Amino acid sequence: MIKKIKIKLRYFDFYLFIPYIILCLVGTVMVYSASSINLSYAGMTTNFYLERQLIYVFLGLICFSLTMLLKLANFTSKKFIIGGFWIIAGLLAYAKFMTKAVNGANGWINFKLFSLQPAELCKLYLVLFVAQILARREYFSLDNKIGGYRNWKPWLLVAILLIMILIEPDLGGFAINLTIVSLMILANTAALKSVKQAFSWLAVWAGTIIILLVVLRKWNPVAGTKYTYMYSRLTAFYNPFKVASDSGQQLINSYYAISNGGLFGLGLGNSIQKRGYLPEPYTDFILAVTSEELGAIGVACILALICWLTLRMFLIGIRAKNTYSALICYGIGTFFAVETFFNLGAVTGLLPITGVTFPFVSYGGSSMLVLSLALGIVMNISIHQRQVKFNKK
Amino acid sequence: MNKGKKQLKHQKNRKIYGIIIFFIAAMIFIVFIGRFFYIAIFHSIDHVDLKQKVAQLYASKTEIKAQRGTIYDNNDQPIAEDTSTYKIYVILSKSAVAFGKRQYLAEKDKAKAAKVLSKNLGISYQSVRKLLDPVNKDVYQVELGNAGKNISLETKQKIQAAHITGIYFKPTIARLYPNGVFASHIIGLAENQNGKLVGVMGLEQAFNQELAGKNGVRQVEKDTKGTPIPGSKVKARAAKNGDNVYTTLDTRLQTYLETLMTQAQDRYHPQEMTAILMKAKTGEILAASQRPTFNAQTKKGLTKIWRNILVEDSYEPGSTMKIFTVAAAINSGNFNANATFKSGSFQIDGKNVYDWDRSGWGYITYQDAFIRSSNVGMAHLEQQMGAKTWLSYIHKFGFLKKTGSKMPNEVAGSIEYKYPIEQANTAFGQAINVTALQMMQGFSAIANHGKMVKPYLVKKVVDPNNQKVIYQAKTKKVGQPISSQTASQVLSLMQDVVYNEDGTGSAFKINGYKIGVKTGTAQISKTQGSGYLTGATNYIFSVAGVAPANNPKYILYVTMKQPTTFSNSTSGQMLATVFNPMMQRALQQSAESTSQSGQQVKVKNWTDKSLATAKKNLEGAGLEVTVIGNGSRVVQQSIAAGNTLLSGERIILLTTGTKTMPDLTGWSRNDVSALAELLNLKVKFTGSGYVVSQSITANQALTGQKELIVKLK
Repeated sequence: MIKKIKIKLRYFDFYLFIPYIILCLVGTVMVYSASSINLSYAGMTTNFYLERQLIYVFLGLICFSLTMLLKLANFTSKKFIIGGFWIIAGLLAYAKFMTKAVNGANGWINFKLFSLQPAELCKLYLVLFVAQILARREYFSLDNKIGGYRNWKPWLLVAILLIMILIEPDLGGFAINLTIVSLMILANTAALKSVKQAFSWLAVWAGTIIILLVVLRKWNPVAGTKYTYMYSRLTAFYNPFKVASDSGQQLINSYYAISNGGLFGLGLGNSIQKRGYLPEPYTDFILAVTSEELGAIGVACILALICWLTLRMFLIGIRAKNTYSALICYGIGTFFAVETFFNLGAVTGLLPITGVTFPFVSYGGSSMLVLSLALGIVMNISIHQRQVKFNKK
Repeated sequence: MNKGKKQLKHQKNRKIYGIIIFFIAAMIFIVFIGRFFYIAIFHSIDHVDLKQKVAQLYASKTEIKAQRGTIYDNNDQPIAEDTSTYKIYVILSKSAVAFGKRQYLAEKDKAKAAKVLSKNLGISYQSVRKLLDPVNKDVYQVELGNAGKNISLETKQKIQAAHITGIYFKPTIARLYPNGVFASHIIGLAENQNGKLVGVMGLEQAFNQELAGKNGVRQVEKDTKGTPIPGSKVKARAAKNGDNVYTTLDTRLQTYLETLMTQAQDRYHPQEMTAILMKAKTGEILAASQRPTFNAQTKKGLTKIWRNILVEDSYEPGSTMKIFTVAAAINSGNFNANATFKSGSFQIDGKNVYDWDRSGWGYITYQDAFIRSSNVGMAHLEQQMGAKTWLSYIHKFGFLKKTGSKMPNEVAGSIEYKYPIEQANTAFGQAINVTALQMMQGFSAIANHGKMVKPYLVKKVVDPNNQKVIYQAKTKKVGQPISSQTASQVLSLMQDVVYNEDGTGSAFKINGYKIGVKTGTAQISKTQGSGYLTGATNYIFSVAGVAPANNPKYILYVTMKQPTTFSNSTSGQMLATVFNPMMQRALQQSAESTSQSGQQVKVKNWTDKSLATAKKNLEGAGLEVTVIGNGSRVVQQSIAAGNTLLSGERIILLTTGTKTMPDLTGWSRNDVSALAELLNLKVKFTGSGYVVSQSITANQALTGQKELIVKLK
């Protein structure tokens, strides 16, 4: 066991690990900066969120180590796949029926130490599950059995999970899960059919979303129903200054924060927007506060780190000889990228607000743990890759 | 294709896909970084200037509220002052949670909350409970209606002492009128308009600018909690509190007048009633009021009438006008007291002037004409003077012109003076419209050796910030319509009205004082059509009187319009229920103050000296001495050595031995405070004026007593 760990450490991928650790540390500092003033206003200890975030970072490292050390084969076992399905489906059902709705959606299960978002865990599970389905499909296709391997049953399970997330209702979680699954399927399409066909589909997909956003600007399908709050997020996206005191409040105050910060920032701790203007500045909009305190240049550095991390995952996928490993890397890379983009889109007003945190920087246990588990798996693959490469030499 | 080749192709395709996704992701990252830089550099989104918006957001111009000035009586007791009150609201929504702490009223606390609120606000438990359990479960917060508004700091603290989460208070400014019904239309009202007190009636309105003060400004960049943003610039200007207005009203007399008028109101139910008590020599108005009135504190009765009748209404004064007719005739040499004329009726231009007794009293003298209130006699006097002369006297007495009382919406009055019959009518108070205050001004000439003084209500206006006197009223002589001899002749005629057996004013005798009056029973013009109302009570009954009649100190003028009943008395007796006790109280009060005032006494140090010597010395100097304790040596004195007192004022001496409570009845607030300080008692006042009751009864031992509650009136 110790020997195994030693081998793993010898081929340890610091290109993945260092950005991860830096992001976690920057995140911890920013969470403290963004939360302490409001905590003091509420008459609570200013370390409250700092201490919790440090615990999450620590737990994240344990999760990371766990998936790094486990054998990948564990994730392909029937036990894992079926067991995982029932656990996640169970959690989603529990969140839907047993918890109180927050803003009309039942997305969270409250544990003592942190709130778990089953849709978050589902992202990682779907990456592993879909990678396995697609890898098997490719394997069968080699024997020209592609026609014979049209097993729809696993896809049914995938669909069930996606629909459960949709009816939580958690549109943001649904969109991210769907995007991850879709991009993985497209990777498979590219491999089996042609790259051109894959990107044609991608273009159609992206085009549809753009058209949808244009259509929705004029047409509110949920007008008058209890789901109006969903559309209010679109209104805030289209014209935030019109609904400045209402749904546009977050985005406008995010703009103000970025504008205040300018290129070099007001200095660490000096954000004005965090002082009650930006609601919960330590979670989804932590990058707005960061931009205000550390400037656009500071944000660019953080984005460079997460960009590096994400691209490195794709790179590991590109280099992978094993279909399953490659698909997992593409999937997790997409997971990270989409999560980041949805968050950045909300902060900078390029996408509607979906309530997605920024990886490793935003306060929150749920996403920290799931992302660490995911990163551990990619590390696992990367170590294996380097080991093989080294042995070849 | 063989299997290996196929696999390689798959791998290659997937690699290309990965590479393209890699670059797409990198590009998207660049787009986002660019977006940050765009906002950070250009500070603009959709043509909205973010910098400007942010400046507006943070610019917190905190207004530092200036305190509205206080309106005082002539004894520096507040009549209207600022106070902070609170409005209660209760948060019920379970969504009200801040940082894991409950902000709403919990279900389990509702019974307790309802109990505390109902006890402190004087509303029933059930009604509070009903509000706390609204039918619509989605309401965020509820208020408690009128009972939950304008509550005092004291009540707020009592409710807060129960420590129930979910009950909150919002401060509001309000105007406190501690005396309730107290010259209400004259003092007026200040209302909270958009968080600012604005005078909307009476002196509050007339002196609004002075009373309002100037709000200060503190311009600083603030966050949502009001904490200044570090490094932001502060611009500040201090608030300037409003000026204090000191009136001439005497609280004791005013309160008494209100009581008398309320009694008369309850008994005779007149439509309107006015009364003004003025110092004859100076024009200071000591007490004045009207009915209907309202309670300035509770606003009860406010809807009935908004006008200050004393200056805003003009009316035909009737027979009280004869004072001026006779004065003018005497002064112009047209009054022969012993000449006679035929009373009853008199024809002018084919129109008849009648006496109130149309059959008349045969041939009577002009002196009798005044005493009996003969209209015919006055018409003759007017004709003897000539229309031009009489009109000039009307002007000289200050009619048809505003007095300049500083009260809002004062009117000038009017006259119909074209035809001889109209000119004659004005001689007995018809066809001329006057205000009550104009009448007072005119009377002052009679009472004051011919010198007419302007009635005034505001003594001075003082800036509390630097004690600078901004306005100081002085007795203002506004004319000398008649000579001193004429004045004393009229005063003598007015005494005849009271003491002559034919006089109409016998009801106004006051034991121990010489009184001079003129009564009036004025017809009321119909509001529609011409002519006058008929019926026994459809008149304005009035009396104008002076006392002491030989050299008057006070002028009192009472009017009652359209009482519904005389309640088995004559109209004179009806007016006397207000006039007599009021005039008597004023005369007594003045007797007290003249016997005492004037002498200044410098207080020496009596501590550790013999009580007997101290008492003898101080009483000898004219001071009122109250001794607490049965010891023989003074241990403490309420007025420190070196201070001066006016004779008649009180000094309290503390000795050793058993201390008992003195009888405080009639004590002033200041005296009670001084006593409480000596005895280390916490004192609570209710009402204002002078002590009428005390919580620790007289002669009760003071050992162990902590608190004294005193009711003033």
